[in-house]
Amino acid sequence: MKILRSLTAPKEPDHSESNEDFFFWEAQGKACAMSDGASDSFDSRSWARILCQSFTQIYNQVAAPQLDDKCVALVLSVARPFFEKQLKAITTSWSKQLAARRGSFASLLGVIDEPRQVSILAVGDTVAIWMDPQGQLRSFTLRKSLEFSKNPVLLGSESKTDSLLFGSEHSRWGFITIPKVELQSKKLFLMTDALGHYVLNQYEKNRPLPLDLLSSMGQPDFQSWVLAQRQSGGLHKDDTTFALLSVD
Amino acid sequence: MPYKAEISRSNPTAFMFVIDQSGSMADPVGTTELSRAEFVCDALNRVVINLITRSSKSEGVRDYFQIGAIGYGGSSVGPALSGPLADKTFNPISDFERYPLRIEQRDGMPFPIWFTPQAGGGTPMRKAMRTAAQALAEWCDDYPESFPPTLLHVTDGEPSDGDPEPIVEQLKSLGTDDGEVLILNLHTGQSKSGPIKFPGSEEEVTDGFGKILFRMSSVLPAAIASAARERGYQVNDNARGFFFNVEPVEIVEFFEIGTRASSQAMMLR
Repeated sequence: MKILRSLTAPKEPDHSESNEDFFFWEAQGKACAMSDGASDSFDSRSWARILCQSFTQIYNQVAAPQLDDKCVALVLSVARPFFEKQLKAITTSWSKQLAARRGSFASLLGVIDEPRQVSILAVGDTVAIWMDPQGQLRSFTLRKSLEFSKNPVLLGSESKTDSLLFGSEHSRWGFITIPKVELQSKKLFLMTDALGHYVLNQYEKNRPLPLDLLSSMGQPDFQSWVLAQRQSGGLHKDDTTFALLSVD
Repeated sequence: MPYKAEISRSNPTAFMFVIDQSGSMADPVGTTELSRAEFVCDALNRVVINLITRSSKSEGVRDYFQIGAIGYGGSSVGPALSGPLADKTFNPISDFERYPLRIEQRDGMPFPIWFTPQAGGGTPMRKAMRTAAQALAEWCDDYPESFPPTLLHVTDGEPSDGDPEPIVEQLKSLGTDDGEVLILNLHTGQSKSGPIKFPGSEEEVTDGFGKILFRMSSVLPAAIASAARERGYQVNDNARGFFFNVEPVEIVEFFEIGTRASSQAMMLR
């Protein structure tokens, strides 16, 4: 797996440190992950980072990975102790204590590059997008721009929210295995919800897709492009993150 | 596209609490030893805690919100806060985090106090609304691109200084590029006619003063209506931000729903 692009733009341009999106991979690794921390939860940037690192750490080491219901529980079992330890160090004020008690939430899009296929775990509204050999745009798990308006199921730092995750809402997250022959140019795009919504909306309206343009951009150009799209009203004002993977 | 502006530190929104502190607010509620004023203060403290925890991050509290509080009772109208927060009409949420009057412990968790019960004299509601209107006009001038401010008014009786409706009609015309000021009214009382919550038409309210409060209340924007429905309220498209003749214990939920207008705008996913 090669990471050809990894670009991000914060919701508030003057506060790049508060960008709650995170993308993580390791050189020579076969797994990577993207996460979008929920704004309305405490230290979700750290939670997003720890989720990505936990997924990558686990699946870089598994010879024949099997993505199933248990993998979400496995990622959480690794991530939660790390996050709890970190919280203890920073929750020094009354407000942080109360905010931390509410829990932290984030999406998780994990990708594993295997010899003939790509396996993807997706929880929440961070999406994987690719072009199939017929030139049709495909995406996972959300497939239509309207679906982004629903509240996503997210991974919580507290086990008290697991009933939402493993209960009746299960249909709103899942796994997929894509044979590499189904990926045009062996490329896969990962993006957080604002950009995912934008791309699917463009596709549904037969408007030009920005995928080639984004694939050629550096970080400054990406930030300028995001700001311009926000001003024109096409892109929601939110932390915006894009990654391009080659799985050749 | 009203009530859609995203809330950020450069474009915060504001909540203005207008609180009846007249003598009747000292009356005990039902069989409890607590007065209405005590219930109101408890609800105010809870809503501020909630707003702060929603804005607290590892690096500190982000100033997504500003809060103002006006109390009226006797012949006076003034800040419902004391200490450093009383110097300005609106204070950023981080200043509330910094300057509680004291921090109590409840159920093993910190419970900061900013508001303490006040009750005495008449009900100068009209004068209070005029004061609020002036403050909100200035706020809207300062933040023309922001999600508009929300006024949350709590009273238990009729005004003693004239009809506040004409003032509120003017107040309703204030706003930002994103929409008019939102006005939500709660009347707490013990009339046998029963409570009315989020009415959709004036005919649902039989009380004369209740009709005035109905007209003084804004039609609920989608985000508040959605928050109300999530809590099981029957809310139609014309529903007003108005509770009439409710128990004081309902104030907490009223504030919770009323301050949810901004959730969608904050993209609180």
